[in-house]
Amino acid sequence: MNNASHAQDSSSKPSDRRRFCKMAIGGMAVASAGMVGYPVTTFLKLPKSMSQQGSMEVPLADLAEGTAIWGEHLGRQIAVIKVDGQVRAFNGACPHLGCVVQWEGATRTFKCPCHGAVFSDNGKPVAGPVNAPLESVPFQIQDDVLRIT
Amino acid sequence: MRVLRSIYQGLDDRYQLTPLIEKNVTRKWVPRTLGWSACFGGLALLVFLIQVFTGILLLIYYKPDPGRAWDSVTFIKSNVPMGWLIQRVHVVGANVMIALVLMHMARIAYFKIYRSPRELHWVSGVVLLSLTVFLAFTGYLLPWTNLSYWGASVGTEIPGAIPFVGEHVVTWARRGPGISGETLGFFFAMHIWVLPAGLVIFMAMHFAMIRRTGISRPL
Ligand code: HEM
Ligand code: FES
Repeated sequence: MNNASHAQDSSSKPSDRRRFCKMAIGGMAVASAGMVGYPVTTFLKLPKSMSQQGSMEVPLADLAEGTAIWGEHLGRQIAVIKVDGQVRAFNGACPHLGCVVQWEGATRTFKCPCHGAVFSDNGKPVAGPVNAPLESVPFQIQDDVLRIT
Repeated sequence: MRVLRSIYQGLDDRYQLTPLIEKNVTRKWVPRTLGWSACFGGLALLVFLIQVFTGILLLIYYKPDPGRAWDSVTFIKSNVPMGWLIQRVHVVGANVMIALVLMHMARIAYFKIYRSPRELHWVSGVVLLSLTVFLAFTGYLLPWTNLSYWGASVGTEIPGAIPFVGEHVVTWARRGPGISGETLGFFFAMHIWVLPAGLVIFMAMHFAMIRRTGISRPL
């Protein structure tokens, strides 16, 4: 292609078309970079529940013998139970397929509604399709308040 | 802009980049008659790169443990900012990638491009398709939902039809008699390392072969 003759034929300046193309391509590149960059940098931020140091608190006075108090911590359903005066905390997600188990005070067991797994009051599996225990959750007790952090 | 240009100029002076770029990208001519169906292979590669990228992002939060896998995916979808988007892109990308590989193959078959000297392009392509399908299959178990559980149960049952060794293949793939935490660990390792690495190796061979024979010229 002959640039000089091309420039004479054309009524606009020789660099106009090339400049337009460059700007259009550059603009699309910047727009795409933004469309990818914005969600990705947002994804890398700390999620709210983590930056707030999400903590769960249970006043021990509310926890009667043989009962459970449920709460949420970092997206997990947590059961705090009291058996024989002892306090324990478990992640309620069944280790089988992740359904949330239920506490049955009468039999002192956790029962899973999904496929019938049964766990004892120390989280050990006693029946059903699992042989893994409920995950026990560490906690601190201070001034008669149980805290999970 | 000026800074970038002088950085490029400095590198170009030392390593002669411009002829390399011209030969492989800006002045690399392809047959004029190719048409849009010739894009499917390259698009499959692009989607694979997106899968690698979004997959690495998901790995920041995903936990390959039966007690926590579902929680961690739910956490990604509902608590991580833009997590729903990254997770959706990875799921949709998996399906799109399989579709693109199949469309790419259909073109090769339709135009009979697989004929000599390109037979091994086809063979390596079949390996690439299998690896892609296995990637999607292993990934499907990772969120540890009821659907993933049954998907993996039914899928790992298939090799049971092989005479004599079938049962062994099934228990091998499941790491035991049924789908369990062991299966999850195995599928996870396959999904994030073994299969992607296999794909990269076979893609490298696939591309090297295509470079040697050149792009096929439609009549
Ligand atoms: C190095 C590459 C890759 C990495 C590191 C990776 C990582 C992951 C992770 C961590 C998950 C679990 C999170 C979730 O379920 O959303 C996942 C899920 C999944 N992946 Fe990948 N992946 C990669 C490539 C691929 C490719 C190439 C495909 C398909 C062709 C694929 C298909 C899937 C599918 C179908 C799921 C299930 C998503 C769901 O149902 O939620 N992945 N991947
Ligand atoms: S999810 Fe609890 S028994 Fe299946």
